Formats: sequence, structure tokens, C-alpha cells
Amino acid sequence: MKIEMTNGSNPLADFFSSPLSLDGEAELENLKFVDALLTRMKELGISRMELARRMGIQPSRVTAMLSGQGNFTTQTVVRAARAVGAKYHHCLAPATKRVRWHLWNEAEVHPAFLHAESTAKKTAEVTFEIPNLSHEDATAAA
Amino acid sequence: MVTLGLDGRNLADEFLNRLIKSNPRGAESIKTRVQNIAEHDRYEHEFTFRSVGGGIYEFKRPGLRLYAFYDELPGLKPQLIIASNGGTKNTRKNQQADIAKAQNLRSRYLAAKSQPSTKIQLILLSHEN
Repeated sequence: MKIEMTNGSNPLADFFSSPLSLDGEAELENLKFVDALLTRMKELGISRMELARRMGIQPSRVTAMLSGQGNFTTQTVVRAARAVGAKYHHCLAPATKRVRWHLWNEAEVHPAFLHAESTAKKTAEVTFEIPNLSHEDATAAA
Repeated sequence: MVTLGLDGRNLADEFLNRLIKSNPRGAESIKTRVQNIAEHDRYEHEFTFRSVGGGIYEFKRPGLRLYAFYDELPGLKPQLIIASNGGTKNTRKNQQADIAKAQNLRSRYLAAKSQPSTKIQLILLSHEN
């Protein structure tokens, strides 16, 4: 077998490599949400029917949602997240940046690392009270 | 994703080029799915990209089907998604015929690939998708 690689271009490849339209990008985000939802459903052994019951919507709407169709409202997304014991997070970042999510359990992290930013800003305020110190001594010490 | 050309015909290429002209929204939707799948090593989705047997996966949109399979080429790191053919008819009979055609194209591709005399020509594009 011989493999040859050539650089080239054709209308189909140009179509697939051009940026997605607004509708396409929205659909891609829907699909990513649905992927996460399906993974969670699999982990918990939740069927489509069960998801519909938990979300309080018709099974046909669940099927439409799972195929990535239409506009998902924030309420639908939160409802679906709750139905699988999850929480929905979103992140708006400059288009030039890549985003990486990291999941962890708070119990597994040392408290010092949990709120590193807020503790760093705290300044120490310590007052001393020294008994039997005369007013003159205190003034001199200051 | 690449399209598969065998014996001078490239059914997936023909199908997608027709689709871009006749149903731009459907074509855009397929493109969205290809982008989503390309980000995963191996992907399966119960509704939009499911295994239909014989190593074939189906991109499914209302009234639209595109068939593809995974393969690796020596020395080429990312796994390829090879699109073989497509269909616009939604009847069960047509769908089964299209799946059988996809399975047949895949086995012919694999047979040809195993022959030492076969030359595989990959046309690389500046963009990755």
C-alpha cells in the first residue's frame, strides 16, 4: 500500500472548513450540552422516558432535545441538569482563548487552596494589651 | 472527515455537493455534527450518529442520512472518518439499501487497502475538520 498526500482544495472541502453559521454554532453548542446530558443519563441509568418524567415534559420533546434541534431555553437546560443531579455552568470567554473545565470535590482539596484569592487579600490586624504599662511608657513605646 | 472515492466515483462527495445546493440548512447541520464528532477519538450518539452495524455509522437529520466509518492509516495520527454515501429518502427500505451500500463500500475499501499494490491518495487541506 502506498499513501500519497497532496495539498488541494475543492468546493466541498471549502464548505466544511469555512466557519459555522450562527445557526450552526448554536446547534453545535446544543450538541455539546446533549453529549454531556447523555453521558450523565448513562452513568445514572436514566432512560428517555424517565428523563421526560423528571423534567415534567413530553417524551417527544425529550427526543427532539436529544437530537440537538431547536433553541434550548436556559430553563430547559437547568431543568435537564437538575433531572440528572447536575448543575449547569457556562463560561463566556474571548473568542481567541481556549477554555478548560476542571471538576473536583471540595472535600479532596486542602482549605488553603480553595479560596486562595480571598485569603491573600486579608491583612493581619493584631492588637496587644500589655498590663501594668504606664501611660508615659506606652506613649514612649509608640 | 474525508470522502471515499472508489472506481472513479465518490458517492459521498456527490451527495454532499448536491445537498449544499438543494438544502443549505441541512448541509450546515451535517457540518455541525462532523465538527462535533471530529473533536472526539471515538464518538457515538444515540440519535445523531449511531452505529447501524457492519462498522457503519449514520449521521441522521430529518430526511437526511450520511454514512461513514472509522479507519486509521499508517503514519497518520488522527483517525479518519470516511464518508461513503448518503440518502435523502426516509423510508425504511431506502434506508436499509443505503446502509447495505455503505457496508459494501467499506468492505471494498478494506479489501483494496490490504492489497500491496493499492495507492491511497489523501488530499490534505489547509484547514482541519
